[in-house]
Amino acid sequence: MSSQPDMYLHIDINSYFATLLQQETPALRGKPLAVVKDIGRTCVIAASKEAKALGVRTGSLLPIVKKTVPQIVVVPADFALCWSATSKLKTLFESLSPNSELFSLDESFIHFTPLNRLYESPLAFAQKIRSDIFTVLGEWVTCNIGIARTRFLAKLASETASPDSITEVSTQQEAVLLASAMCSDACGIGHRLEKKLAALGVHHPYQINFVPQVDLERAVGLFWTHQLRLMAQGNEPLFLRRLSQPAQPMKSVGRSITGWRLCSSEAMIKRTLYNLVAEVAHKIRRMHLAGRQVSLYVSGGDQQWSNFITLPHHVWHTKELFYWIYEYLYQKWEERFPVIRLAVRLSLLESWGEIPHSLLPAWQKDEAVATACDAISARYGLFAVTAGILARGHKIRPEVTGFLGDKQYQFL
Amino acid sequence: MYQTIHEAIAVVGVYNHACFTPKKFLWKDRVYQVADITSVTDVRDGEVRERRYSCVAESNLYRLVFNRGEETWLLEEVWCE
Repeated sequence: MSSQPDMYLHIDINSYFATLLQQETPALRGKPLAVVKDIGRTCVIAASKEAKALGVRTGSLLPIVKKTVPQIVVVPADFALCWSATSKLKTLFESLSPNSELFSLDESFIHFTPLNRLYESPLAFAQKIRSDIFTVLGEWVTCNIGIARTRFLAKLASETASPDSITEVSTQQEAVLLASAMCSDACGIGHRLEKKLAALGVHHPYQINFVPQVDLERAVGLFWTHQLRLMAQGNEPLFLRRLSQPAQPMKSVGRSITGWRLCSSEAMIKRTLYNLVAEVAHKIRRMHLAGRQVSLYVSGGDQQWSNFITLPHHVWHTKELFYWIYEYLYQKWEERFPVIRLAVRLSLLESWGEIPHSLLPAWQKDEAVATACDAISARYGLFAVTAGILARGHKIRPEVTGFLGDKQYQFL
Repeated sequence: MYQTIHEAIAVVGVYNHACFTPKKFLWKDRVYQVADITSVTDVRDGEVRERRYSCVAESNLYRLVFNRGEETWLLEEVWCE
């Protein structure tokens, strides 16, 4: 048995959305790019390395960016390009190791320890990965690779390194990394947790070691106290440890859309809700799931409204889900305001196999229609057949997100 | 910005290790030599599978789309500064 400590690699493609566009379109290389969801949108969802160097960040507002960086080039995101590249990366990493875990659209972990007889060192393995990514995705695509005892440290190392670098963190260097990295760089410490820690005078993960237990518990609660203590020692918090366990079935499926401008048109809102519901129903049906909790969220300007209902039975038909969203929840919304964002969600999901099917003739008829539609969608694509309300005009189609929350659906 | 063309084209290429590489294409009675392929993107919707080749030809970038079910080629888009 080897006495060597565990070693993990974290691979993170630099500025993923923007870099892939630059790889595809040589005219964009070397230019500061602001990637937006679609032309006309004002929120920057990704920035190229060149734009980041000029201070453009994800989430920046385009009108402000255009003032500070007049030479910025605005391009729409290409979700198909990103998803195709992620699939190629997944195939590549799985060909290199049986212990690879896709963490997000552009990040993966690889457990190096089982491979230590195949490669001279983790560094040699990292160099091979970098060279393979170059071959698979193209010469413009660069990545950061962090190598450390845990996934948490490996990710922290790659997050804090400069672009296109390999960083190996020895046991002796762990404390230095934890003391020099910012809390915001640490995987699991989000904006709200970061603010709570800042109120305790904690700005670097290593400082958590010196906060009295009672103060930490009061600020962040018992669960996060334990997770933060693990992080402060460079150990893996729960959500990273879970990566090596079999994936849990999805507990909820949702879809949201932010419009171009505030909308008061009932017809447009109804159509949009139907579109979102159709996508949610399509996803749960493909995964053979059904849910009992239906939620609706609307927002516009500085106002928001939400509601949900927990049903005694499970829903897995578009028609029924739309009934609960539109006829039931939406109609309960009294103090209407123009909306820009709509979100629907179906939760408390369970597998079809565990749910008794209704014997009512109307339900059986809906099931027969839905099954036929599933077969057509599986052959000709989503929305090849749909309700008349969506027949004309632009349809909102499924998109991949950076976090890849629906990877169980995407890899079906 | 990409300009949509969406016109049928003929493509000549080579298969190497079960991988097709376009070498030239015919569009509007003119042959374009492919100098470089910058990206290959697989798109799938149901059983509709397409492969998009982003090709540099005569200093321009063209997106050629191959429908893998129908075995048809389209010049989908061209890059315009």
